[in-house]
Amino acid sequence: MTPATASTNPQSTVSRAGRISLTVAIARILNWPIYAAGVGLAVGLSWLASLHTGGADVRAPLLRVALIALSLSAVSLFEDEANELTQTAPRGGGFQRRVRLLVTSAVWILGSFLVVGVGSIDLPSEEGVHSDQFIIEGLAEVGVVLAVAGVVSLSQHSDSSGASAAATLLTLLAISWLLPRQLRPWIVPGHIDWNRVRALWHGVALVTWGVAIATVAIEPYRALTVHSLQRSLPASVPGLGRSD
Amino acid sequence: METLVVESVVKSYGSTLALSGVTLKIAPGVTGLLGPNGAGKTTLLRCLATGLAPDSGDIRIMGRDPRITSDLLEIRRRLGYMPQDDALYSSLTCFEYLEYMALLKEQFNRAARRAHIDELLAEMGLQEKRTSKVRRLSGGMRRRLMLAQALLGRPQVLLLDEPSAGLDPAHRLHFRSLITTGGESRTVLLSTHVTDDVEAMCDAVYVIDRGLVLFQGTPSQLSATAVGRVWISDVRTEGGQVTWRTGDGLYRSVGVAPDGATLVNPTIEDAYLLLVGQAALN
Ligand SMILES: Nc1ncnc2c1ncn2[C@@H]1O[C@H](COP(=O)(O)OP(=O)(O)O)[C@@H](O)[C@H]1O
Ligand SMILES: [Mg+2]
Repeated sequence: MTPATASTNPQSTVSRAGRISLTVAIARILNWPIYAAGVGLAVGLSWLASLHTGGADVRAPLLRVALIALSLSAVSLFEDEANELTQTAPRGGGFQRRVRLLVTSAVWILGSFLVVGVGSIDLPSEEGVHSDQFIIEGLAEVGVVLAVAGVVSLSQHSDSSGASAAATLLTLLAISWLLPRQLRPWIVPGHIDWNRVRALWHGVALVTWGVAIATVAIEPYRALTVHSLQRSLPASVPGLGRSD
Repeated sequence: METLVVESVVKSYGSTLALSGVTLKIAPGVTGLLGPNGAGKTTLLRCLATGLAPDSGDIRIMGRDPRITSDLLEIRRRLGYMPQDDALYSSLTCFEYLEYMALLKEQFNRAARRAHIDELLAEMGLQEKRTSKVRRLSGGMRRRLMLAQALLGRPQVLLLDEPSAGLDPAHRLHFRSLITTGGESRTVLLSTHVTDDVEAMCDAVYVIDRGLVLFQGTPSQLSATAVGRVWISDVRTEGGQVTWRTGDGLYRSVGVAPDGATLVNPTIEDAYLLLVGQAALN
């Protein structure tokens, strides 16, 4: 028996090399294939958008869909399949989640710049809408969803990671974005009113934060969603419940 | 000296009361947590594994309070936990999985870590699966991998949630020997609804149902609670609290004496049925 562990030395702190190998291991374990697929889809869509010569308001809907696809796929980077176990490990709680949050934020922001960048190729500047406005929109979205996922994921005793909550919320956003323009009163037909869009975003961000905090703080809300299926079975005699 | 102390712990999920004031004191050795599905075993183990905070009550693990941040880290360093549901990464190999878990458990010395993992894989009979993807493992192999993970670093406290579920008889025996040879100083708390497991390896047993402790003592004390309350007859008769047909064609009843039945020596299972059945009737 080799007690090959730092835990035999209770005073041990994580060395720099330890932190690095841990960070690399956590980054490696993230759900990269789904995110890669999301980036591929999003860049494809924004490339399609860039083929429009019409300008920003023609490109905007496609770019929005692209950003949603990207964000949804990035949410999968938060999902820890083994969360119930890893959260009880010395470096599985706070440290692991911080690394996830950091890595996810970084690749998400890079991805959305890529999408917006490709989508704004050859954008006529006399339209009055510049790529920076797409960037603002994209980053607002990234920020909101990261905030939700981060809050849920960093809450110590949550047994569902941020992914589920963020995916739900993002789907709601996607639905509201995909509504026909006529049903979106904050957008004047034929012309994107960026100030209105941004004002709306602040409202959405506030509501989103509210829901995120409720998810973390109010146990019944989580219990309702997460474990409603896990019902106790009466012990059947003589097999005593589950046969195994 | 008790390693695990649980004092009036209450935990509810919304309107479901999973633990309604549980008090336990667990010393080194193997202790069984026996109870039907939904009794609160998993909830209690998750609280002890620091994965879930109780609503009220106190928990002390090796004298430390998990609510204090520095204590929490020290507890986690000495704890091995095997959840009821497999917590695996399907795209990793067995070795990669254990290596990841070992890193989360601060085993940063690469050579020592790898030797330790190979040793555990061998103990679990998984050396041939070293480079197999987790998704290709059978249910029993997954359970063994989960047990290997819990044993990483040879922790002083092992919390095992239905560890023998899904194991074939040979591995179940092997697993019992692995758990019971953990050393005198190790504290093992395992949940099960299989009375045989308790009989085979536990020094102490707690029976819990509906979030309450119904019994605490040794396995033989548990079976003694049913003395004079277990009968055998060759025809099905009414009157027993619980009656079932056994493999040899006889009817076994616990609780109230059926007409014309013979009194027999109780097993742990009889005592357990009596306790849990009574709780269900009250
Ligand atoms: N996360 C959860 N959300 C809501 N209810 C839960 C949750 N986990 C367990 N329960 C309920 O709490 C009770 C105890 O469950 P559990 O601790 O899993 O019992 P056991 O492990 O003994 O089968 C059951 O009634 C179960 O339905
Ligand atoms: Mg359970």
